[in-house]
Parts: sequence; structure tokens; C-alpha cells
Amino acid sequence: MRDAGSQVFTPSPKVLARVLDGEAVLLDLGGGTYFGLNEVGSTIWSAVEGGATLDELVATVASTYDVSPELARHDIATLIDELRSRGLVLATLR
Amino acid sequence: MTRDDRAEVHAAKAAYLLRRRALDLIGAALSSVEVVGLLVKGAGLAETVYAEPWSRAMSDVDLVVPAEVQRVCLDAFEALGHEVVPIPDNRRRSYEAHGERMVRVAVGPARVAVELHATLDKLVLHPIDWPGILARSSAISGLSESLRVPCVEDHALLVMLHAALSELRHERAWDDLERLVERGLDRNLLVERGRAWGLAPTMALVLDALEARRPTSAAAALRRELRGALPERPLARRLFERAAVARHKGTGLTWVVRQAMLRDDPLRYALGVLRFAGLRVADKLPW
Repeated sequence: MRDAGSQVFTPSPKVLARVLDGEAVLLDLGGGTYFGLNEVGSTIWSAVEGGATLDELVATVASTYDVSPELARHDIATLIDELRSRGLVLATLR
Repeated sequence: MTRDDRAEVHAAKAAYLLRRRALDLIGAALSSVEVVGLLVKGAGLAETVYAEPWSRAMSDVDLVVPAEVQRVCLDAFEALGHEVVPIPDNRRRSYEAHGERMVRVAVGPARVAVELHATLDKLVLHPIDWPGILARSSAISGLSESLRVPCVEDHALLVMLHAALSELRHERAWDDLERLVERGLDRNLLVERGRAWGLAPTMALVLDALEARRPTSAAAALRRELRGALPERPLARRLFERAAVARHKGTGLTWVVRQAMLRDDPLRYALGVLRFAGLRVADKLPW
């Protein structure tokens, strides 16, 4: 992920999303596909909904769950890359 | 939960997201013309009596507005970019008599079907107190004030009416009724309104059918409580149960005859059927 520190991640406007019963469900209106995120993924998504950098996402996850910032960074970057590749998350420079 | 079960729940939740967004847009359309509509059956029940609203599947959203503002509502939907499905030329008069129109609400590129009703009734209307239903209705958490749901007693009667009109083939009605009963219906109000709306035989039929299918449910217990308070029509029950399991739906005429067995007003019903038949004939005329 290039320039990760200065990029702000936000949901794509073509995505409907909501946390239902503890898990975030994302519906891509463009592609007609949907995704379910587990509890940690839902925490990340909730932060993304307000606009967040990778550092901010790492801080959120590391303070909520018993995980090292290094491991959290790796897993969050993987998830964000996946969501971006599917057009569910947009990245803008701060 | 297996992987397949999880996938099913995710699909139901995704459909719910779409529906919920559609409800926001429906609320916006009604608000723009200052109309209050009733969300009935699936969409209304999902939001009020189902603990997990996504678990109540449905093929469309049923919305009731007074007949006199239906045209205004259709114009509001169109003005906001939604599609009002035209009435087929050869059904114009009979469609207008039913007061039912279809709108496809645009949620991005997706479409959600909305049936805009002036009543949930068919063919010959029961004396249902729609203004009273609206007056007793309540707002739905998180949705526009223009969308309301009937109180549980009124909703139960409407679900029973729909179950009878669909000849007991509407399987989701059983879950709906169970949940409504579990919410705590006022038995006296239910019977009083059911009688006033000419639905007492319908109530007996549907509650009997539910008791036969789910004998240990709360709704079955309600049926036993109300035995004696509702008219027994064993022949109607037998014919409806036969229709419910028949491979084919049968003709319009058999439907009319079975529905007649639930009416308290046979003469009015017969005249109404004749009037509707006249409209169908008129629809087929070339002018």
C-alpha cells in the first residue's frame, strides 16, 4: 500500500453498509455483490465510515483487541487492499 | 452455523440493506407530498415484530395510502426518478377498482418493487376502518415519520385477511401471525374489530388453519381461547384447506365462491362481484 500514512479511506458511495447483529454487511450496488465482515472487520469498517488513515485504523484495532500494532497493520492493510480492489473503499490523499 | 447457513444469512442481510434504503426513499417521496402511508405485511412486520428484521423475506414492499392521494404519491415517486409501472390497457378499469399500483424504487442501479395500495382487500371490499388504522398506527424507529405501521391488533387482522385472500397459500403468514400473537394482542379488541370489519369468519378460518399447522404455538392457543367467539364454517375450512394444497390455484370463479363462504354480506358480495365482472368486460371493449 503506497503512501499509506497520508491516505484517508472512505466507503465508496455505491456501497450500502450497516452493522447488523455485530457484523458489518456491505452491499455493492454497482456489482450486485455483498460481503460480510467479522467482528474485527466490522470495527475497521465503522472507522472507515468516518474516514480514517491506516495509522488511525491500526490505533483503533490495537486499542480494542489484544493484538500487536505490527500484526494489526498487516491484517488491516490486507483487508483494505481487498476492499479497494473490489471498489468498496476509496482512498484520497489528506 | 455452517458455511451455507452463514451465506444465507449474509444474503438476507444484504437484501435487508437494500430494502431499508428503499424505505428511506419511499419515506422521502411521501414526505415530499405530505402523505402518511402504512407499511403493512412483510416490510412493516419485519421492522416491528421480528427480532431480526432481515429474517423476514419478502418479494416486495406493501404500502397503503388513502385512495384520494394515490395519484399524488405516484407523481411524487416519478418526480424522484422512480418508475411507476403502467396499467395494462386491457385491465385499466379493474385495476383502478382494486386501487393497486406497482412502483419500482431505484436504489442506485437496483430496483425494489413497491405495491402501492388503496386497500389490501380484493374484489368486494370489507368495511375496514382504514382511517382508524392510520390513527392507531405508530412510527418506525429510524425511518421517516411518513411511514407508519398498524398496531398489532389491526396488523393481525390484515395478515389474516391476506392469508384468506391468498387461500392459505401464503406460508409467511403463519410466522407473521405467531410473532404478532407473541407481542401480546388484546383479544377483545381483536374480536371487536374483526366483527366490525366483517372478518370474523376469516379470523376463524385462518386461526383454525394455523392451529392445524402449529398446534403448540401461541397463535393456536389464541384460537382455542376464541372458540365460541368466532363463527365456525367447517365447509369453508375444508374447501380452503383443499385449495391450499392443490397443485394449481384454480380458476377465478372457484376463488370467488370460496371467498363468498367467508362473507357476512352475501347479497352485497354478489352485487360487487357482478360489478367487477362488468368492469372486466368493459376493459376488453375496444373503446
